[in-house]
Amino acid sequence: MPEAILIVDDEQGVLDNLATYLEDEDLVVYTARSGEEAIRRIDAGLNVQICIVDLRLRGMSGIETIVKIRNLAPQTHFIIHTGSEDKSVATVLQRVGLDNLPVFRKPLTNMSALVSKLQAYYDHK
Amino acid sequence: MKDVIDIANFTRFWADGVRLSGVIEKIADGVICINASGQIEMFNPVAERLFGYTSSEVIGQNISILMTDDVGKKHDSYLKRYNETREPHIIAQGREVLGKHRDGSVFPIYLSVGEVQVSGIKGFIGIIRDLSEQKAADLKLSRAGEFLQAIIDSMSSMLIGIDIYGIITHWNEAAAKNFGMDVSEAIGSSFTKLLPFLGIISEDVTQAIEKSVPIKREQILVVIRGKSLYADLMIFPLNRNFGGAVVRLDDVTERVRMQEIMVHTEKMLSINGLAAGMAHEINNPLSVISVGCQNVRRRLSLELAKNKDIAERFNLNINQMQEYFQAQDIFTLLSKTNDAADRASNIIQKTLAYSRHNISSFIQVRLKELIDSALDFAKHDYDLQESYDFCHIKIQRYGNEDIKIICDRTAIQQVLLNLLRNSAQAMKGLGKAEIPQIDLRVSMDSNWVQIEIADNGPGMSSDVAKRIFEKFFTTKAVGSGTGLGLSVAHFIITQQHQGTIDLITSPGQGTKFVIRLPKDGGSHARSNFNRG
Repeated sequence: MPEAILIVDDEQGVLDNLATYLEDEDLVVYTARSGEEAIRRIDAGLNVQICIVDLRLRGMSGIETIVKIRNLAPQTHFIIHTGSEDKSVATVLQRVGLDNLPVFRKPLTNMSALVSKLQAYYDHK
Repeated sequence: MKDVIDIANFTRFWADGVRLSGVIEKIADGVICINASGQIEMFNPVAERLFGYTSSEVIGQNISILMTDDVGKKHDSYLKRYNETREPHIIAQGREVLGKHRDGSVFPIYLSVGEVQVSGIKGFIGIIRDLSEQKAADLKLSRAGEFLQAIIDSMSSMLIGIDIYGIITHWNEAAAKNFGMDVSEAIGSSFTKLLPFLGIISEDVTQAIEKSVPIKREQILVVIRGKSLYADLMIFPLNRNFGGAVVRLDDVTERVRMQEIMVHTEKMLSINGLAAGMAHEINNPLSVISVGCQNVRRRLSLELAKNKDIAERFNLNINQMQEYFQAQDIFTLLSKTNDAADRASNIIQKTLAYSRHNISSFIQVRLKELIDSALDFAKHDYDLQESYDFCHIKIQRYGNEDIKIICDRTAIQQVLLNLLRNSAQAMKGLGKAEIPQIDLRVSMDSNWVQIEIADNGPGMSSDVAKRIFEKFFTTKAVGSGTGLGLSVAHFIITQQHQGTIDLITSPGQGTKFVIRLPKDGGSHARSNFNRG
């Protein structure tokens, strides 16, 4: 089965561009416009190894989304992709015990950094 | 001589001496007559009571027994001098002197002396009024005045009493201190003349007095001795028996500044929240731009194997296309677009990081990076009110900045920015011939790094330099600076980082701040740093 990634972001442009780049890397990419949608799809049987999640989402927050997906699929790796400022993100993640998750800041001006992170997960497996 | 009483004429009115002595007996003042050589010839009952002698005891005695010793000793010579020169010293003038009681006690009297002649025999008559009670009353009155003064002096407000004509009648110590004018100088002056800045309220004063209602003015801006300050002013009219009013002034500059700071802080906090939300909103489109550029770039390049297949489908030669893109600078344009998105996002990130100074964290940082970012901020910091242009200042950097120190990066950036900003503001006054310049010099020894920030501005007097790190001290006009900048810098360096900050300046010699920081960030840092 090919490696699959789910990107959760409420901005269609971000989803499209990330998906394009990662698909060009021959990865299987799914996208969701909200946390609710992401959970619905995973609950419905979508199998992904990695979730790239924005923190500030309309509706359910990114953090809540991660916690819920983790309950549904404990093996999932998470990468945080956020436009918020580093320090406030670090504080929030620390509070909910997710501070060990890798954080990529928007805009990703160097996509190869994200790709190597993804690669590291696959190689690890 | 009009004061010489002609007893012969006198007796013409008072038929005989008995009647005269009867009058003298009854008179309310003490009456003593002496002959030309000073011997007492007459001593009336009031004199007896005042001095404690009976008339028979003193008749024939020298008058000096009723005087204090120092005067008594000289009295004979006074008499002699008068008899020879006829120049009066006390005759017909009257003055306050001291009398001596039989028991030796001394009391104040008012003495008037006249010369008398009876059938060619000269003598003197003295009328004596006891001043003891009056003196006691005077003392009581002046004590009451002093007490009132002590009461108003004990108050920290400036208190000024004025009469209905606007003349100052009272002036307390706080007023003396603030206006630099002591009470003797102020009392009797015209209120509005002395305190011209209060001219604006002179109508209030008139009104308060006329309508007999207190009037209050809050936070009025006044200039006292060239120093502008905010004052609360109260005018309390006195009751109609006295007229006039009491003016109370309180220096509330510190409170007003505090309010300004609170408003500023609140504004900053809300801007902070706004900026955090905005950062997210802006970073999304920046993300689209940046990742979009990377997608376009890759899909145009030879990097992706599938590009070649797709190009062939359209009968395009991908190698030729590469040449075309190179010739047209397509990849450069794309990478510049990507860089711009990166830069835009960095500006947001840095601004946010800078405004979040509430979280203190010590991290290891390269000095060069700190100085770069402080300069970067200074360049982008344009306060409309101050409107100085940082870009016109020549910046010279000396020393090896490739030093790592442990510090609260944001806090130190704030200090450097503050100092740069101050220098820039100070150099605004430079003439056109001089190029404003800031020298940044870095040096280090085993445990410390030293950063010097020197400008070629107008420098400061030692008075200003002494107070420069005080909270709320500012040389800027009220409203344009909180006066917190340098006191915060001082706190950050000396308390938070256990370093030192010193100032070397004199008028015309520019200003140099010297900061010394422990390389390991001091003990606060050591306990913090290991955690994260």
